[in-house]
Amino acid sequence: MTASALPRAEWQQMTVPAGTVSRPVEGGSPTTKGDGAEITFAKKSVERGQAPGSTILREGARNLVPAVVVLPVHAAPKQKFIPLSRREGVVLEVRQDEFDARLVDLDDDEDDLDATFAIEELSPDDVPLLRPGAVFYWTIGYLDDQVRRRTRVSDLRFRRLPYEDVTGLTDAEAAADQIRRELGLAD
Amino acid sequence: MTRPGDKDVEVHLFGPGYGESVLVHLGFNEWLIVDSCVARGSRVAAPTAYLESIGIDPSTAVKVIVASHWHDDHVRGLSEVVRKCKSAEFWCSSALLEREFLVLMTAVTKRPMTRAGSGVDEFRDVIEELRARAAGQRVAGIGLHFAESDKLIWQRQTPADHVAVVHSLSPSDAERLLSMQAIAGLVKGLSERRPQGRIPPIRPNNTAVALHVRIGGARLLLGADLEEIGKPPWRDCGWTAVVASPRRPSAKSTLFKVAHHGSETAHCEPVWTDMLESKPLAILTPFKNGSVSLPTEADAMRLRERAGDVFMTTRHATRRAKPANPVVAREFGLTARAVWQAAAMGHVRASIPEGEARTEWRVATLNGATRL
Repeated sequence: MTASALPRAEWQQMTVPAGTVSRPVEGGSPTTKGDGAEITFAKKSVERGQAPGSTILREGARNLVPAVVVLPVHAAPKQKFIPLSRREGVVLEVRQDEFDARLVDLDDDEDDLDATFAIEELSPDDVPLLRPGAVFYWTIGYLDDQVRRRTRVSDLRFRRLPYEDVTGLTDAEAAADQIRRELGLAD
Repeated sequence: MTRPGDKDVEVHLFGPGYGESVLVHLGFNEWLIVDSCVARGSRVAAPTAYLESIGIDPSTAVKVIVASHWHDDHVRGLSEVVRKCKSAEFWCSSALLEREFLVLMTAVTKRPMTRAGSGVDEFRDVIEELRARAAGQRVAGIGLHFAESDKLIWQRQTPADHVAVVHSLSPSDAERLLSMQAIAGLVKGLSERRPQGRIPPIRPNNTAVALHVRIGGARLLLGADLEEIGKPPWRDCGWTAVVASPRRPSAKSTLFKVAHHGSETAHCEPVWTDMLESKPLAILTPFKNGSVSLPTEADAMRLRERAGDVFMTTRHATRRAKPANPVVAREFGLTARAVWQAAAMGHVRASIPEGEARTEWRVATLNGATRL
């Protein structure tokens, strides 16, 4: 049976008939397991079409003991964000093509700022959220991608807040009554 | 800086940084604080920090704190002021302790992760300080009072040649009703399934507390952010109502803390003719919020025409932001059309030393304060 004859989901592990051995792939070393051999392919490799299917299996040297080849799974490098400035903004005023906002440093290192942004700087999905009082985040930093390529990022992203919780409002009313009682403003 | 003599009159105006605050020496080491502000890069309230810097203990020396209104540019650090000034009475518009405002305050401050406050948050902390005072005390002991038009809020009757009297001139009855309506509208908005956001300031500002202060022969008019609309439904509001009131102190003032940063919306000509001496000393703080920058050049010209001299705590409320990190600085320029930070906090001190003619103010411009 060749790897290519298997459903894709089974490509990660298969038994090699006795008497053959596969080429160690990606640093895997052959090991013996009974009269057959197991080969584990990196799923990433399979998906990229790099799985050693029948070709690899045919490369086995004859007259060697059956072997198990375990191919290490290499996790793809993850992208990494290195923040340099993180601010929460609140929209103060919206005009035809720009808006003003108050910016608070989320790391508490810097003073509050006021800024004016062009509306065209926003993602199309964020534009409907633009109104006085709306909350957004402005993040500046470096993004190192999977191939360790660094990009400078300045990202404006509006916060998708839930609607007011009516239960919360009831709680607020109870708290207000409690405050007034404690301050002697109500019975 | 030194502490004033018993009969020295001193008026200190701080701002911006963040906010505006007036500190008045009422005589004999008794002080009045109106609102609060903090310096850029600081969370220390300016008026109490100044008192401590000249060796005065705010916990005993400050007799009256007035919260002129709840907007962010007037209350930063106010909870610290209330906490430190343990023996001071606290005065504000009654609208700020009505149930609707407290519901709004509680609902808003329970929201998760919103850091950019609206002044409501600072006022919540003020309420907490008052609640701490109230714990285990009789209500009469917490020193909480409501300011309104033509109300005597503090006085010292001795010695006879240096009496000190503080009156509130606003809000009027109509303003209290309108502000309660406006606050109720904000609360109603909370229950209408709108996405959460910052609570907008209420315009016009109907909770502003303007004050008339007499200390010996000196008279001050402290304008807060009281505005002037002068048309229905605000006919009985703002400066028109103050000027028209037959019960307000009639003596004209020689110093005017200009209302609402010199804005046209706070200008009322009869204030200059009926409540101020000719060519008074005018002091103010600048303000910037988005596209609004006060005072405008027209405002400055109007003030110069009416006042004998005009001083401002700093020339501009903001300056271009200069982040320390050059990458952040570059992205500021690429992403935003402009980024500003608060200007350094300036300080105007107007004083009348004991024994001098009571209308001659001496002015010191400190920390970047300037003549307008």
